[in-house]
Amino acid sequence: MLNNLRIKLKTKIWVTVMSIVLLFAFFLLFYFPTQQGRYMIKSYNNEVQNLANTVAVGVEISIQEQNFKGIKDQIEIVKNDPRLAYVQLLEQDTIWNEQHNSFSLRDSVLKTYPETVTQKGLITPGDSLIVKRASLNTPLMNGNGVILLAFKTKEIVEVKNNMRRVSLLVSGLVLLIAIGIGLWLARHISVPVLALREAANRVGQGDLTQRIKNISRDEIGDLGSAFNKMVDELARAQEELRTANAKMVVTNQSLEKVIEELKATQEQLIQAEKMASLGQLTAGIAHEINNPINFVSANIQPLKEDMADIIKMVGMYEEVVRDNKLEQPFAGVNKFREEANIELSLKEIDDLLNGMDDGAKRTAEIVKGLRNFSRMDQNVLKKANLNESLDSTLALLHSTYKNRIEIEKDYGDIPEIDCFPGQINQVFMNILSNAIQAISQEGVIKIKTWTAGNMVKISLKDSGAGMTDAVRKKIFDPFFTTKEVGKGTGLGLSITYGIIEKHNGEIEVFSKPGHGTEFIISIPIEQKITS
Amino acid sequence: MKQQYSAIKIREILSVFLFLFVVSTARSQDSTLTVISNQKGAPAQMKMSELVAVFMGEKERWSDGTKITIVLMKTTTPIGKETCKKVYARSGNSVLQYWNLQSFAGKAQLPMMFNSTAELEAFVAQNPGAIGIIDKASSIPETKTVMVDGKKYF
Repeated sequence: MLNNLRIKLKTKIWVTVMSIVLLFAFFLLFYFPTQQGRYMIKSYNNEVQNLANTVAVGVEISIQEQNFKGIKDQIEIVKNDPRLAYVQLLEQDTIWNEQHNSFSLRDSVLKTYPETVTQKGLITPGDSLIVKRASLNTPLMNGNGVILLAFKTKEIVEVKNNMRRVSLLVSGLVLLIAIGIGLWLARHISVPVLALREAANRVGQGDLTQRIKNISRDEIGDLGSAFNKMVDELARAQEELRTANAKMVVTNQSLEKVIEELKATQEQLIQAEKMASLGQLTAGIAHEINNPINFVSANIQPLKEDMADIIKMVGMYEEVVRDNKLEQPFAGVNKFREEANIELSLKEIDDLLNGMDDGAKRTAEIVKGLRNFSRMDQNVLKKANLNESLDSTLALLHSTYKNRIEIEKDYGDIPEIDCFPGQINQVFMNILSNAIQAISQEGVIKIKTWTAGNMVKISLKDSGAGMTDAVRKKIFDPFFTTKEVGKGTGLGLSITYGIIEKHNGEIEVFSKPGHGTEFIISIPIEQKITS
Repeated sequence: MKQQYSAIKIREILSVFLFLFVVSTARSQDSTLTVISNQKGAPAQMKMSELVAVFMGEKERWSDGTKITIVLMKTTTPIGKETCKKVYARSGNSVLQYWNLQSFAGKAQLPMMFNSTAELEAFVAQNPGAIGIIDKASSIPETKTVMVDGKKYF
């Protein structure tokens, strides 16, 4: 309980000073006066007793010499003493009992001075009187003579009272001095310590501008100086820490940027590797399909010509039969012709051949697209026509937009540009895939290419959902995606940006929610880079 | 205390009466004492009662204003004892006790006590107002004999 009691320094100072004052006052007001009073009373008792003895001896001698003046002179000694209350000459008689085996002493007063005093010889000494007696032997009395002196203690009491008054005065003076000392101590110890505490609290709250002023030349002053030095060191250390933190923040930012770049690079490498693998696969497939489809495409025209000859020959056969009226011998042939609906078959052959021709052409386009797209693994700068790249990409994406999205092409007469075709195809693939996904049902994708100075520009504009400015500002950030988890890596446009940047080009985005999105890509026609 | 005090007083009064009685009876006996005094102070004649009053210390000054000094032989001397008997009508111890008490009380009139008549006479001769009792008339011219009730000796 007492350990938890918090006593202020100022309180301790005042308690200490006041304790000393109270102790001093106790000794000055009670202990010393009491001890001195006792000593004075004791001395007074001795003095009175000695005086009584002296008077008794003197009186005894004077009586023996019948020197009455001597007796008077002896008595005058005490009579002239202002402290004297009274002096008595007693006769002490021995009173025996009837059996004469025990006795008691009885005082008889022979004379009292002053005579107005009526006390008996053996009065009980009061607070104001000291009574002493001394025996004297004289044959003139029946018993022993006794000189009894009663002295007033008034003088001692007055002295004690004076001492008390002086003590009180001195105590008051000491109290005033103590208050002064207390104030001085409070000013020179408590006040600086409180200021130190306040400054320490503020330093603890982070204010390192706090300093102790008015440093005194004592331990408190040393404490203040040490505090100031500590705060200086603390401020310096904090400043160094702040600087180091700032450097570390910059370093962290750099590291984060490096990490992001590393991640992006890693993803790009992975993506490139994937695309390379895909390209190899695609190139292989395209190559394998290309030969058969070439056979088909190359054979369709001869087949058409052969079929035309066959149909012409059949017509000629029909004319011969009709002209020679040979229906009867060919009745079975005619019957089969009617049952098989040869007329319709002949017409279907043409359609079928046309369909086969279209399918072969389409397949050839796809193969061509695949071959073009598969060139992305080629990390060599080449000349490429971006219109063809766009068509190749559209061919690959055809299944995702057919019958739903209309593609409006506005290809300009653009020159071939220096580029990494595979990477450019990946750019178009990413943007067109996003555009197709942005159109939930039906819509339009407008593709326009043109030349602007030494740049080729490509506009890819969809009528999809569009995006907010907040989203628009982040679309090129790595791993940013608005798609559901697992459906997008958030790397497509980041990689796109990186590819365009690699080609010293620019990519701009214009979009509003509900009004679609337009990407405008600018790529130099000629590149200074070689790989 | 008061009773004892009163008893002393009564005792003193009785002593005085006894003294007067002794003095009155002594007159019929042969006189062996005489009163001498300094030339200055004491009258030439005194009544016994006046003498007793003077020697009891009841009178402080003579009629001419001179301070009375009582001079006595010590009670241990024959003259002293006779003086106690004839003047004070009490024992020597009683007289001493009387004067002890008087001196204790600060009485101004206290007797001077001497062992020899020569000393007594010399003292009387040297101190105006002194009056003493001896056994014969003094031959010192500075002294004189005081007649008591018309007698030189009593």
